[in-house]
Amino acid sequence: MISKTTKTVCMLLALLCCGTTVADDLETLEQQALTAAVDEVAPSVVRIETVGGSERIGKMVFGTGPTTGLVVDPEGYIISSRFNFMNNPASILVRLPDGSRKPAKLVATDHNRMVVLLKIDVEQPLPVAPIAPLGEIRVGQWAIGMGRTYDAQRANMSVGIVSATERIWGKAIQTDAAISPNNYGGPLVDIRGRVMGVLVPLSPQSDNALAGMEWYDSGIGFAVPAEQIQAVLPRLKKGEDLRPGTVGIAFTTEDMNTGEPVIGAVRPDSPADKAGLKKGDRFVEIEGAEIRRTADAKREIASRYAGDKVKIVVLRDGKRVESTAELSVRPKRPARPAQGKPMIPKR
Amino acid sequence: MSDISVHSNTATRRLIAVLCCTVVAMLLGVGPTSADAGVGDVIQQTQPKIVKIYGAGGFGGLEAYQSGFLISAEGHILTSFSYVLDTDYISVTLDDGRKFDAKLLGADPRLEVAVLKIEAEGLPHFDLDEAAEVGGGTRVLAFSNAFGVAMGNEPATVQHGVVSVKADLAAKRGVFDTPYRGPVYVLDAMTNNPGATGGALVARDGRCLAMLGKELKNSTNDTWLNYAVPIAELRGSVDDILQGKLTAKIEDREAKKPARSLELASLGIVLVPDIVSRTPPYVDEVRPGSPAEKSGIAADDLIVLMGDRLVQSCKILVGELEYVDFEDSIKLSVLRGGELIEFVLRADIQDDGGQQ
Repeated sequence: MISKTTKTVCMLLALLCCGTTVADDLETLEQQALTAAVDEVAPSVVRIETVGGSERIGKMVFGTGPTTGLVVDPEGYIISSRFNFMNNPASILVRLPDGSRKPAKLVATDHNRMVVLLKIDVEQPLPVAPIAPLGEIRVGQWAIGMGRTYDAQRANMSVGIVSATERIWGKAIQTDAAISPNNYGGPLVDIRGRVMGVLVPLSPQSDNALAGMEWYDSGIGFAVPAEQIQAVLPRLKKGEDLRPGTVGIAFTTEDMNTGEPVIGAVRPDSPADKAGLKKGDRFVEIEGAEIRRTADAKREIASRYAGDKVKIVVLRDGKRVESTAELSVRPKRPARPAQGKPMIPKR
Repeated sequence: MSDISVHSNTATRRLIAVLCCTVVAMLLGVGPTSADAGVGDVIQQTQPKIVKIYGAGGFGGLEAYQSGFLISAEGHILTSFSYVLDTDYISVTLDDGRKFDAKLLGADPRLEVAVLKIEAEGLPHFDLDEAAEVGGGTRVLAFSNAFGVAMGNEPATVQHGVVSVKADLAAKRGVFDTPYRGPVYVLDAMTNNPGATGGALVARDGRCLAMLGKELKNSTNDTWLNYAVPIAELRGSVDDILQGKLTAKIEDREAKKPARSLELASLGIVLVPDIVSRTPPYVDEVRPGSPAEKSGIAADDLIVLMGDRLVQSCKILVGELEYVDFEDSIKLSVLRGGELIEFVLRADIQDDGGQQ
């Protein structure tokens, strides 16, 4: 008589013998999980159509679209990429997955994270996809970029992994999934069907809304974390345009990664000046986060907005000095005439 | 209980533990028999079916090569119809390095597909009867000689990705729209590179899905497009070519234009002056007593839809009207004060009768 143990061993051996089948099944299951995740979020992914608008922005030919948006509130609030509206269209239409079209109003723009909030009137509450907490997102996990540009009825998807978190001064998740105008404004989704972020072009070198577009489909794509968008949603809903904040100081060094965070200059009447910060102060903490290098300070400030109040701790003459600064909008750089050429005033 | 049985039980438990660990490792994909083995087999079986094609070109940035795949044991090759084939000297190199002169049996310019023939027998090939159709999210492998990196008997380049979506092609080459506007598999991998056109898109089980398309730009946002034309779309033309009865299937949209098209003037609508390339189609004026006025259209309305089609500028609206018969009614949707309002109107034929 064959014992239970022997039977188990035989079954395991049989499983081992058909290892390829198991692997193939795994691959099938993986594919099913990816499409299931897309199906889960697709009802919240809308198509955006525009009428009119500029044909060119600088040297770039601006497409006619369509582009993508993500429902973030059942009452008809939709987040999209600022890039999609850079040509200032005359009107915006949102096409819902059921085929109906709704005129949309651009409520507010987040100039720091390059997203916009749209509003449409709805008779029925719109579906909102669940959000993946930022703390749960790990480098190497599956990441699916979604848009609704090729076909109004079907969402398009691209598959990759999370390449990095906390990119662009902590404002973006990086992915190697194909990200382009075909899904800017759409969600970056995890394999459980949760929204990790909203896809936008970004660049660490520039805060222009078009910056980063040159990397489309290159394996370097970015998404603004959904959790961060949720945090500013109430302000955007009120129609408040959000702009990057600045504290108004210069460090003694330009080396971000190794430079000591010591203040080299304080701009008069800046938030730093009003908070009492002085030349020679060494940053220790910003909003509780330890500051060891100038890059740490840049990260803490760059991720915040004008109007935000931040608690700053500096070391002055060996003593901790605490103060609170209200970040302000970055002052516009004065126009400088090219060398040897007179500056022609604008009319 | 004897020592032998005790040792036996211990050994069995150890064996089970080892086997369990191995199976778990397999399930996690870290063992020797991971998913890669299956894909590896598929790639190995597919490579002999892919061919390198050489022909016209080699100047002005035009590559003199492209890709193709065998569809019969007797040397029929499916490939893309391009300038590379516009020569009497087409050469094909098989996966094993053998070179053949190829004959162009026929082509369908609408689908930009061609069939070549080389004199050989017993060749590994795709059976088009077994070609599969898939949807968005399907993992795929693309085989081609992109950039001509594979020489002689070197295997073709393999890329992996997923089908982004199956959708109608809306693309352009330079400033010209492409002749084919049917369904394609849009891919999330950068597959459509120089020389890749004519390559094979294959499912992870080895079935042929589609032929890689050309280097095109998405006409809606000016980005490079990666796509493949499903075998189901090509099949009819391929069969016709093989049977020697292909008739070019060039869609002539001009033919769809009616003898007399509807004009905005006959509806009583005057748009704002079309001064920029994308002037929004605002209604500047509505003629008194016209169909537009009777239906309720008013000055300052922004026309955004004609039927179900988005009209993004004055030019597009006027262009679309050319395909509407002057006797037909049309549905115009306008934006007025943030509200989308639909109007159905028809030209006053009696008034315009004398113009026929």
